[in-house]
Amino acid sequence: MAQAARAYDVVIAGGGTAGCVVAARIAENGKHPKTGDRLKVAIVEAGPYWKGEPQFGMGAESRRAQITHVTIEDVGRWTWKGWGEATHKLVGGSSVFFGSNAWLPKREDFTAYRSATDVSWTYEAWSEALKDTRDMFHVHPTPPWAMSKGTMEFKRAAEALGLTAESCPRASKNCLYCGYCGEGYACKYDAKVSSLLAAVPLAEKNGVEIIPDAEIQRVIIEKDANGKPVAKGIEYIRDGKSQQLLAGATIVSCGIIGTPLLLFKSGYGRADVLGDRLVVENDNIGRHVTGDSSRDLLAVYAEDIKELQLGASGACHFVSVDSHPDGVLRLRLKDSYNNRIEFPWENAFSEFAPGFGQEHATFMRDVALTKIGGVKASVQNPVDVEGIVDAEGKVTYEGDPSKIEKRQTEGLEIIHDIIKKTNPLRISEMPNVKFRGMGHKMSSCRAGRDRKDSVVSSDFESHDVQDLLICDNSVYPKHGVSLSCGPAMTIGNYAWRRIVANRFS
Amino acid sequence: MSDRDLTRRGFLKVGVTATTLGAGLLRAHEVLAQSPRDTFFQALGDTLIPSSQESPGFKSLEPQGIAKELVSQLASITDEQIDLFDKGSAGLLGEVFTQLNAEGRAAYLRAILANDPKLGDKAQLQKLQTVLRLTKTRVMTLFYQNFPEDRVKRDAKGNPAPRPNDTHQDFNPNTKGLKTAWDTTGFGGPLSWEQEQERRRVLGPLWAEYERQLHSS
Repeated sequence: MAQAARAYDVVIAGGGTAGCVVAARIAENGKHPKTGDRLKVAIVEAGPYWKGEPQFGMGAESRRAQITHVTIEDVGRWTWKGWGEATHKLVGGSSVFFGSNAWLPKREDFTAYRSATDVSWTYEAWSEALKDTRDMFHVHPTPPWAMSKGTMEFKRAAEALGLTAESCPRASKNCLYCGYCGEGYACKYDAKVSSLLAAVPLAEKNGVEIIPDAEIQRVIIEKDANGKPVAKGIEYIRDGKSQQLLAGATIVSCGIIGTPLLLFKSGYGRADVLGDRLVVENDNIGRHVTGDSSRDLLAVYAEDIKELQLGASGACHFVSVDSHPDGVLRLRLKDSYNNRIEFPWENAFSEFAPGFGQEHATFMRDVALTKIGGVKASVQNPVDVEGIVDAEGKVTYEGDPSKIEKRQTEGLEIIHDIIKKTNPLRISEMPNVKFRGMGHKMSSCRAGRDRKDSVVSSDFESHDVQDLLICDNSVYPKHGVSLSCGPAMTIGNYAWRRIVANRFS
Repeated sequence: MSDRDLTRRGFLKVGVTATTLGAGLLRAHEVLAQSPRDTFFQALGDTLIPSSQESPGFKSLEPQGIAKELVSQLASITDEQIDLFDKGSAGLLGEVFTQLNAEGRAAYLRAILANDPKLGDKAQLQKLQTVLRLTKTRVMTLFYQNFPEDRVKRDAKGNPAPRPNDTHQDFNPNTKGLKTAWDTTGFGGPLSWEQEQERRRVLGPLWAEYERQLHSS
């Protein structure tokens, strides 16, 4: 039986990377337009809340005990694979587990966004949000003393070929370079700056109520006297009880898969998905998904190129290669010579490892953890292919991937040339590139001028449902040259400004 | 301070010194096979990761129960598949796999991986390769995840439970008493409190200087 509903000014459905930022900032800066009072804001999150005052480089006691970095069992306990790919359900979301590289939106991204849906966003209008993100998440170039021999060799080799190698941007603070990071690994020492550490304390300081372990069932959508759909809040289950939380504004922030799924569950979406459950139709919900496409080449060396028990995800260099002035089909070539420590249970299956026996044991002892590295070639800002999210959260792709495949092959040829200049003993075979899907996905509920090709306005308001907003990576109109947590961190810092200006000032 | 003045990584040598262990204290124990299934997986595990004086292999961890754990993880491989794999070597090497010596077993695995037509047609080779692949995946994963020192004690909620009087949440399950895969590969596992503190001592000034440079640029 449902409990009595509670009333808030704003409810954020999903306490992930973007949700925590937008909640904290709205609570900090917004005020009730009629009374001038501080806003009553709540975050409702499906996963746990690892509470604890951030201690960058040290770790809060409560979190240190949770994050042990011992086995896959430990690092994967909060990884939810229910949507066909790893997604992290906890307060702070995927930023708690991300690879710590913070690729924030760049000027060329805004060209891509505007060309996709005629959204009004500009780099200049976002400059304050970008600065806030850099400050809030301590985004900085990898310090030179954190670079391994291998990543310095990569830089030297790239530059010898006339390419420019840059230091990867990282969101970390007081990192111990223990190497236990990378995608799917949380940081025991609070050195990876996530929304849990950067935004949640600000949210709590400004009175945001955090409701963890609550599975949201639906956005409550009702029709007013004129038949116009209006969002009234959310319904969720916690401790086995169904509860309602009513709000003047409902902001959905469940990520690129979670957001369309929650809207589907609420009767808002595509007719082909919802059938007779359709309450409000918008054909763009769950469509237009874009992301990057990556392949890598590895090499084995006679000498150590990395050090045991030392590293950090993304503490390395990257090269950008363009064939178009707006960054369309940009290649990002990023080395992995310092990409966290190597785990023996993974490297036992290296392509360079002998199949079994004493030779394999010798390889594991002398080679596996310090003498293998490589470079990943990612095609960004893709063309001609888009994904569609179905009712179970699975993404399928439509379109012609030939341009992406061609560009991917070009990228592999360039990194082969770079690696050759680093004097390896052996380089992996060049793969025959076939499109396998996209990573770092975005754009499943994109923002734009018109509901014909988008779901929300440039100010994050649903085109179809009053008082319903969306703020996460799903609203970016296209995958540009920035990706993953960088855009998610930044969109909260831009969205709150528009939401407060329009509703709470 | 310039970038060149920042000494890189020398400090960490202290923290990552490989542990020297009393490996000589250990002996590979012969464990009586309890079933053809046990015998088979013990033989295959020993062939995939042989034991030597210098480094522990599958067999040297049998007293700690690695074979039993492996058998429990490979329930999906049927007795028929095992029988087929075991007998598959007879035509080429004169004996069934479990009766071969170490060299013969290794030769059989090499022939399977090389698609040796003397072992049978394509379908037969695929069946042999499936058993080998599934077993190898589990053997390597189990061994290199540091069996049997790969788990920490947990409380009723499944959260790691610190050792008594541990105020620093050290959860490295590896010990100095038994030589395991992490010891031979040099993988240290999670840092101890002392290693953490050593890194903070050296990295603290580097970070402080870097922050100063960031803010002044």
